Amino acid sequence: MTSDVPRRMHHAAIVVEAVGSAVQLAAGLVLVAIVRGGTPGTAAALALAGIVASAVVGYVRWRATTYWLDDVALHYRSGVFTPDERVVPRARVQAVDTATGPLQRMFGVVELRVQVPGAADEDEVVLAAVTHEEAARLRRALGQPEPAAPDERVALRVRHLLLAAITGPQISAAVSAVAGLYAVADNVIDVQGGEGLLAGLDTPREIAVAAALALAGGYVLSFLAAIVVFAGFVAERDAQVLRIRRGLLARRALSIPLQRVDGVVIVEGLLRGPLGLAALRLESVAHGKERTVGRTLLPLVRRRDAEAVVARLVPALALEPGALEHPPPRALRRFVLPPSVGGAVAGAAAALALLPAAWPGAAALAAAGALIGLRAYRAAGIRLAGDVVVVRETRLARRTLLARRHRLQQHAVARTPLQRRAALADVSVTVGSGGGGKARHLESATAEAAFAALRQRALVRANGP
Amino acid sequence: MWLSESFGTCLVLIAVAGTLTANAAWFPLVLAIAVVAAAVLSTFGLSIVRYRRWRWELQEEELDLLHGAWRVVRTIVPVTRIQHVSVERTGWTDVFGLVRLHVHTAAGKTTIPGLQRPQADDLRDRILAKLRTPDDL
Repeated sequence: MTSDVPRRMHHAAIVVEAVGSAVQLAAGLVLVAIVRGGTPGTAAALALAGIVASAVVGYVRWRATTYWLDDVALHYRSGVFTPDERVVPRARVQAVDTATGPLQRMFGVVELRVQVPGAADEDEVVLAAVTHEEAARLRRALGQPEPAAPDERVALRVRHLLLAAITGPQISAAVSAVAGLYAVADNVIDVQGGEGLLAGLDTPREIAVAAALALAGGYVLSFLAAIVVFAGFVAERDAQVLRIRRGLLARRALSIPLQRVDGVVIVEGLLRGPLGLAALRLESVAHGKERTVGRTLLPLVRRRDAEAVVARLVPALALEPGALEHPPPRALRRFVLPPSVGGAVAGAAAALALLPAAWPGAAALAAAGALIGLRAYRAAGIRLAGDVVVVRETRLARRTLLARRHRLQQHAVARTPLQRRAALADVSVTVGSGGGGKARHLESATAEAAFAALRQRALVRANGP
Repeated sequence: MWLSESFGTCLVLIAVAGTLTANAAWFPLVLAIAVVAAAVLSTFGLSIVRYRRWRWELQEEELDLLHGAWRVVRTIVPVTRIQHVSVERTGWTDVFGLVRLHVHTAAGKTTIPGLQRPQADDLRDRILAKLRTPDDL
């Protein structure tokens, strides 16, 4: 391809940029007006000023942002006072994703995100508004294959969407929302009433009620958040590319070449596990730094179908039927003891510090710890099957990692002197996102065999894709 | 250098023990002395174990590391996965004429501490020489 002239984004980018900053600016100004005790008139005037200012900002930003392609790279230049030029070698582009928010839809454009390996979120190149044709041109130029008729397609049914939202609330989103609301509310009331929200809570009962309310509110919010991000979830693949589309307000479309998928994690959360449900998460360098939502391959799947669905969507991870190698029975106490002792100590500490009557709680916590340990023991294991390594562990959720061996970033075997005496060892693997899996307290011989097998990369590489 | 790095923890422990003895009546002097002794011992003992344990070896296709005082970890980093290598020196490491070598992969970095300068440069050059081969990330 010949060299390209510097281009600007579609004009809609002005609006997108402007709206982005306007919402913050206007909200901030209105808040200032309220706090200062101004009339609604001044508040409106300030809000208007905010809108005008952000329109200017949007225009200036749009003017200052250009991008162009040459033979080897995508160049992206942005910034008004300190222009910043990024050069992304074409070969390094991991994936090109699109997002279509309400604004983009209004103008018939898309937002394009070029994913670069290892980069933090802010380092990826984001073009806020380009036409569909331009997006297709860039995608082609950056070596992303044309969308073909999908060979496999898995869509999330509405029933499953609701179930996913109920059982797997987007807790992190909800927590931050609640914390934010609390900060705002506390601030406003503090300024007006002279005392914080917490000051009004004297009795333990009031505190408990407030905490319960906050939790319930958080749960509802997270439920809604899950609906918004996962609505219309479709995962499909053709011979080369895996595509994921999702979202209610902003439609996001992720595409990732199948050969760049490092692995998939089957996550059985605390609520989902007992119901026989799980979520599938994608492990790849491209989306490694994203939070959970961005890495979701499927928000909800029946546990017993999980491996089959993975095999359909990522054929390289297809497994022959077979079982994990589990830790030997003598490892059981190593799983059970630490959490139960931890529970007992925590309970005892609470009883000592807060309520002497809470002693039975220590026993209950210890029992809960023992159960957690037992669960972890039952699940733990490792399996090598062709190019696929399967590692299962239980933290809070049970996670089964299916990873492609030749794409592992590193692997390790570890043992403490106590484990050495018992002839046990841990095996851990690390994938491109920095995540990975660890199988604990395996039979030493099993661990060493797995470790040695993982080292035989050259062989696997020669036969593998 | 290892000693110096765990020395901070040691000092903190001693300080905590000291404050507790001074302020809390229930904290007996004997226990404080025990804590101090344990802190000093663990600082020296652990550092020496850690130092003696550390092994690294660059093989044909992989970097082989062995380290850890209590939990002994053996890690394999395939050379093809290495993105870049950096050498870090601080004022404090300069005192000992040592540097740290960081090996970065897509998943994060692995550090080999306490290398002598020429040793680190040599290892870095050898890793880089192996990296000349193209890879597909």
